[in-house]
Amino acid sequence: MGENILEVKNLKTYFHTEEGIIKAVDDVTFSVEKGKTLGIVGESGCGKSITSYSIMQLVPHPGIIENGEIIYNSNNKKVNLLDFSPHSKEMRKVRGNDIAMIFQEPMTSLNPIFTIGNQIREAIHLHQDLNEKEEKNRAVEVLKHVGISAPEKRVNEYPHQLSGGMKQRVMIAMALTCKPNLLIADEPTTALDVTIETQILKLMNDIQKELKMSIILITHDLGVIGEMADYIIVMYTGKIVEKINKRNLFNNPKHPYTQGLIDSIPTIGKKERLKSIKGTVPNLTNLPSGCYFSPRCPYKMDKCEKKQPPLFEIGDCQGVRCWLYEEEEL
Amino acid sequence: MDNILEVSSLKKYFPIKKGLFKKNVAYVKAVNDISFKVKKGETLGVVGESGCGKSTLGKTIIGLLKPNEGNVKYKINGNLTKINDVTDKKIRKKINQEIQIIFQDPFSSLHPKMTVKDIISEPLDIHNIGTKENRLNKVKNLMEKVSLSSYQINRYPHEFSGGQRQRISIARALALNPNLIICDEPVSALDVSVQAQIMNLFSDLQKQFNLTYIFIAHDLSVIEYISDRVLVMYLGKIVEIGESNDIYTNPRHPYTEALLSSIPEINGEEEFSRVPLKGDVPDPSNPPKGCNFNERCKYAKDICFKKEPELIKSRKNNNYAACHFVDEIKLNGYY
Repeated sequence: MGENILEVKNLKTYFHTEEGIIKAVDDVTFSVEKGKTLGIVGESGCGKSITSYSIMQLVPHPGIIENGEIIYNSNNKKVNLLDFSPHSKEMRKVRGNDIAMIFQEPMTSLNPIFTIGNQIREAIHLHQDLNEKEEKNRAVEVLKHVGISAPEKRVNEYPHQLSGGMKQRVMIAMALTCKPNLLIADEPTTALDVTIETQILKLMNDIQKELKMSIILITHDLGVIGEMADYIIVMYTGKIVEKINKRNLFNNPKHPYTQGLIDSIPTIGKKERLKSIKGTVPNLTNLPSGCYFSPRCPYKMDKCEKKQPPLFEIGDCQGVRCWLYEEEEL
Repeated sequence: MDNILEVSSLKKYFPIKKGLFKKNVAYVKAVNDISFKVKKGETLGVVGESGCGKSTLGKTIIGLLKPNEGNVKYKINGNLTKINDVTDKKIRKKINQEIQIIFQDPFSSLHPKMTVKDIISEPLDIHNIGTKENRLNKVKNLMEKVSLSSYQINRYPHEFSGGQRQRISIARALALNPNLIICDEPVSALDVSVQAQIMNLFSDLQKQFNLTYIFIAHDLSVIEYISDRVLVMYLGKIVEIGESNDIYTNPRHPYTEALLSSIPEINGEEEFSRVPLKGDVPDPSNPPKGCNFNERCKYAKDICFKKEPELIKSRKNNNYAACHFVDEIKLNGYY
């Protein structure tokens, strides 16, 4: 096993609302290896985005990081990011420079009243000591890097003049300006068409190889995971239910929820009836007792309704939160 | 089998207005000369990228948009009748009952201040069907058909999840015993596990009521699962149409091939396997000369930039493709 760039330990991010405490991220532990891609997969409301916001300390109100450690390893110096206050100089230095993030909607994450060159230069200006001309050249350079044609011209254009795929390329360019060690991509292709999605994923893949960057890829789309991720964590109602590598995810998933997700995707060439997961994701303010998946689980036992299962380690670097595997634990 | 719907040379253009006097400066040809037939009891899948005109096509067929040219014929009492400029109230009413539409976003297609009962019985009220009691029973019956419990009958849409809301939309569409349902991206706003439930519901209802679907989606695996025949659209035109199996195994148009190669391989193999298509979808108000796809096509030759291809039948299978080289280039299918 390689060196870890990021280790998240016992992270808890709760939202204090009028209806009660919502445990959006509930005791989550994982690590990201250098140069590898970790995929976080789950349905809407499972806490995958809040996990990434917690790493960047950008949790929206009324969310609070209650507990945990986020250890970032820069040049063999380990720092706990949660030691910094969200508004501190140190945290700002990490954001954008060491860890960069791209969001789902390229349409709303760019400022409509500034040229894209301006917006890329802002990122350079904050973290690097360059003069105006050098900044501009660097902006053109990164735009070229992400495959935008005629970057000298594009650099002076406004976001509305670009297509969705181009905007996402600009977002990636912005994230790459400071050559981050870790890129967090939150549903980077969900708003894009399939042919454009393929272009963007290929770009991310190529850049990762070139810069030896680590990626945390958050998505609900198992097809994207299949192309990009090396290993995967599956989340459900704020908890990790399975840690698994890519080969096993598609060929030998363990947790009944993961199995259900894989079976829910229509396979081309097979017209069999789809196996769906019954019911819907429970409301986070009103979770079932015991295992949170138990009301939807086809293998439910008496025990499941009484006690929340821990994460059992059963194979190499796998973990599965299900009582079925209690006896197989190593 | 009998054709239930025939669309011929359908055109829907949206003007782009500019200047003080709102002069028409150009047109977006959202649906540009489209003709096809739909057989009774089949599912025709319509697939394409955003902006290709697939939703406009659905809305023009059902009459929510008025076509600029062309016509839509629908079988009423055994005769194919033009339905896009019907003035006879009786026939209009019958068409409105027999063709229904389901929209993509279950969050905005249900009125937030109406209860489930009101939503599902509204079509029955409008068409004056049955007594009050009959209607209530019908609503309960429909809710059961789409697996909603009847104790939820007085609840409001916000109390339901996305999947349940889509079930309400489906129940509403079924209220008038339609023959043809146009489904406009009905599962794309749903989570994967719920998407599978709703797709199963669509196939069950089709068998039970002998429904015909025009199923619009951008997800190629969803389209393959549900469709008997598939229509591929690009910039307002049909680029290929054929039996679902032929389209996926033996496409005859380079754009179909490109779409198929962008389907992710879900097998856990290590390498990046998709082949990206170069460029973006062109501006629909200013499409390229010749073939619409020429700038992105790796097989393009001189003729593709000069002459627009017609929809021609392939000699190799029953697909029709709008390509000058329909039988001359070797294209890869999905499997």
